[in-house]
Amino acid sequence: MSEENEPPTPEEPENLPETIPIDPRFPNTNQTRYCYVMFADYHRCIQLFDAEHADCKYFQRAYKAVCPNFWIEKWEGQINDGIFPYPLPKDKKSDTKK
Amino acid sequence: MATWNTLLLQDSASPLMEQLTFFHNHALLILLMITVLVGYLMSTLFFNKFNYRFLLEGQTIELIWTILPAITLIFIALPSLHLLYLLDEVNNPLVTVKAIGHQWYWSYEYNDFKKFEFDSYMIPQTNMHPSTFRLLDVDNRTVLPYNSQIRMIVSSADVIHSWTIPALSVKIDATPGRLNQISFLINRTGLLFGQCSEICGANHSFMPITIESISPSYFIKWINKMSQ
Repeated sequence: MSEENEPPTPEEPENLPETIPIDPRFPNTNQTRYCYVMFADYHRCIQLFDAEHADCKYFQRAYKAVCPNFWIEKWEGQINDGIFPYPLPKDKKSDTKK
Repeated sequence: MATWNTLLLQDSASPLMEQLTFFHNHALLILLMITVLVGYLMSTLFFNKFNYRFLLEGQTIELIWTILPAITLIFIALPSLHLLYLLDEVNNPLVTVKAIGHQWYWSYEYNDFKKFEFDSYMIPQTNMHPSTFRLLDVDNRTVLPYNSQIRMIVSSADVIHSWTIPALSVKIDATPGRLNQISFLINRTGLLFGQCSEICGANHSFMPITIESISPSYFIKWINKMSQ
């Protein structure tokens, strides 16, 4: 790193889209479970609220940033076939009654 | 081309690798001093004709040669541990990039912006340009912004590979069914090369990694171009 504090050059953009921050629940090198939990949480979230909910968007950004695309495709196929190995609420109405 | 420089560590491109290079030189210097000292002692003992039949113990010299190595080890262990924990430090990343190992190429996924992915194959010798680095250059380079914290998520689609960039002090296994995370910061622009470091089959030697480190503004331009 340079010792002197140079002012940032004007071409440096300030609005570099940031990725999701570190999740303190998953501080390890192994991020497998983080990906899985984020994916499952997104699908629980969109059934409890809706896909445009801000919290659901966060889960979606998280799992899209961390999970390999071919895992996402596989799991979405499993959800469509009803064999995803994680309890998801059946639909919005049946869950809000509780 | 093989030059004497290939025996040494590569020029560092990240603050951590810089510190690792310093530590490596520090440890090797201590090693050299010990080797010279012990070599000198051994050679003088071999090539003289002194003898003393009743030499059984010498408390003072034994105390010295027990305590001195212990102190020497402290001087190696403390910076080593310091670096070990520094390497595990996680910072909030600016970009997350996924590297997926395949037999025998790497594919990269950038999903922070618009979702896009590409495969990165080595340029074969028959397709080389004069500017191509033989066995190291790829058709689609991994473009990353410099001076930005980058999170790499490394996994594999078939067998174990290993994603390695020596200039960044990065070496992390790509294991099928598991996501490994590593965080690094590149402090200069340029091309950084690495090769798969886990024997993964016939073309293990021909799946290199090429990082093109560019300024964040050009990185955004590249992202926009790629995601169209």
